[in-house]
Amino acid sequence: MKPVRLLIALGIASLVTLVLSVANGTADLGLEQTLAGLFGAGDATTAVIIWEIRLPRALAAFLTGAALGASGAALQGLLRNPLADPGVLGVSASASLGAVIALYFGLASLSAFALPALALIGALAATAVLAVLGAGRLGPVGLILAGVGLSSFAGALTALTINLAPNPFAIADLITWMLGSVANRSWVDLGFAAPFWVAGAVLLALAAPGLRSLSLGEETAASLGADVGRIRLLTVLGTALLTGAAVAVAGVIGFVGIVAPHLIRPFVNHDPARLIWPSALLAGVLLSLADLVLRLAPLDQELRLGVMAALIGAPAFIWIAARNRGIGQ
Amino acid sequence: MSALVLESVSAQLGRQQALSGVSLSVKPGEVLALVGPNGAGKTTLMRAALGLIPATGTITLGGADLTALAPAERARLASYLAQERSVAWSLLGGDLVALGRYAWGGGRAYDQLEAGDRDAVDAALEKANATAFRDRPVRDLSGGEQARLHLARLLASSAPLLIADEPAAALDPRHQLDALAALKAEAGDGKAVLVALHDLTLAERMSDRIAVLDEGKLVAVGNARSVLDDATLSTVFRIKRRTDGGFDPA
Repeated sequence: MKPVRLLIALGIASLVTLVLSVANGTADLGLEQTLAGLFGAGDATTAVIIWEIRLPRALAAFLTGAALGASGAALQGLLRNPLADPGVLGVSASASLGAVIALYFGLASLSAFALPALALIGALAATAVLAVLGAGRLGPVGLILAGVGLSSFAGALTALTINLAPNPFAIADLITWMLGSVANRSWVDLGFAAPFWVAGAVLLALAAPGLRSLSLGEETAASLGADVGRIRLLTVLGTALLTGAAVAVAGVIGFVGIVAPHLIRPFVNHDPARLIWPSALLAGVLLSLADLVLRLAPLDQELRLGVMAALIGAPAFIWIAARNRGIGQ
Repeated sequence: MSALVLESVSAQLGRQQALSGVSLSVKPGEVLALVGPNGAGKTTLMRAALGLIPATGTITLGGADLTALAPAERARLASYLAQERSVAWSLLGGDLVALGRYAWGGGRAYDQLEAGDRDAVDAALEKANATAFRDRPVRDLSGGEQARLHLARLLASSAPLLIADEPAAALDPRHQLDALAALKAEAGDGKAVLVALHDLTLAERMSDRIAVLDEGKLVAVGNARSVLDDATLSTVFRIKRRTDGGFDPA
């Protein structure tokens, strides 16, 4: 498929998904009223439901998915491994640790920016560790192993925080947050994440042509004139910004960064540079649909988005791994 | 002016001295074949010449000191076909070959190339006998067919120096000759060509000069038809020439 056509098709799918997300919820508004409300023609209650509740939530789900999808696609190109994503490199776990620290010390209740800021700091710290360890010395497999170690360490510190939590309410807060959700997200949350998402997207756009050259391995890419160190830095930093802000908004949402690029790859002739933006759009659509389904599911306790993503994503991960026996060759 | 000049170049591979004080130059219009037993330092010499590994001594590419060149500048002076030819993803053949224009076109896919870059890619596909694979995913191709695409990627470069590590590997005899003939034709067009070859017969037949490496040292360099004398063959390769032109263990 022509790259432009694929992007247009996914763009239309994204818009349809967003409208569907906004049109459906506890209050039965219907499509007509939804569209009227969206364009400022409805009554005041409808306007509040749509503009203050549903649209921020729908955008939070979509943009979180898009950030993770772009991150997964770029990291897979960098590491030449279809199973790489921010989770594998420990970026998500480190961002989550930052958020847990904000909750544990009560910083989150002092300032609305404490949690997202610490989540971003966690993601950037993980990136800095990887950059120091990996700068030119660790190959793709070494970088993945360093990420696995980092992920485990961040997980251990998170467990320690839960272990030492002063009271059961704090534990409940921590666990609830870690399950991942976009419920009750506001424009403030999105406003905080937006600049980091934009900056991360710019860095990945700069890295994209270099990712194509890395298809031939780091040595050949270097001989072609690619600055491999710069490509690695752009990709890892861009991923940290996108993922850190995504974790700040929605908590830990796994696997969407692996599944979306896997589904897109055949449509872009396996080109790692052209994989990034379609993967972002598809991941946004997938996460929006997942959030829509769990909002409409007739359950007493609303299912958490992170749980839903893992329930669908983990089996998909195993399936992809089983089909890719050539990984690491 | 030589396309590549090495002066007293040494390099370590881990703790191993892989290259010791090698001085060598490759001139425009010639094919210089690098031969030597396994571990002699052929690949190390090529990597050092391209600045892909640290080395001591002086390396000059197209008259410029290697250490003063940015990656893209260096790539515009020398194109490299590594022995390791893996492709991480099943790219289209055309997109793989288009990477040969990276230092000129900035890493575009085949269908995004500017006209001049696309002409260079098409011409390279033709020279490597790989035009039929342009729109095919590389994972659907045989090892030999992929090798021809990699050769085309090397030839798509406009660099005045081509460096190829075992360009005949994975090819059947006919395509081995074709690959070397394509490199020889590049030399005919004024490029300098440095190839590492295991096949001594192929080296004698298809190159202008041969440089013999042994244990990281340059032991002989000269006319392709005379440098591999009985003494060199027996001390470096531990073989001797039969009267019919083949080789026996010495």
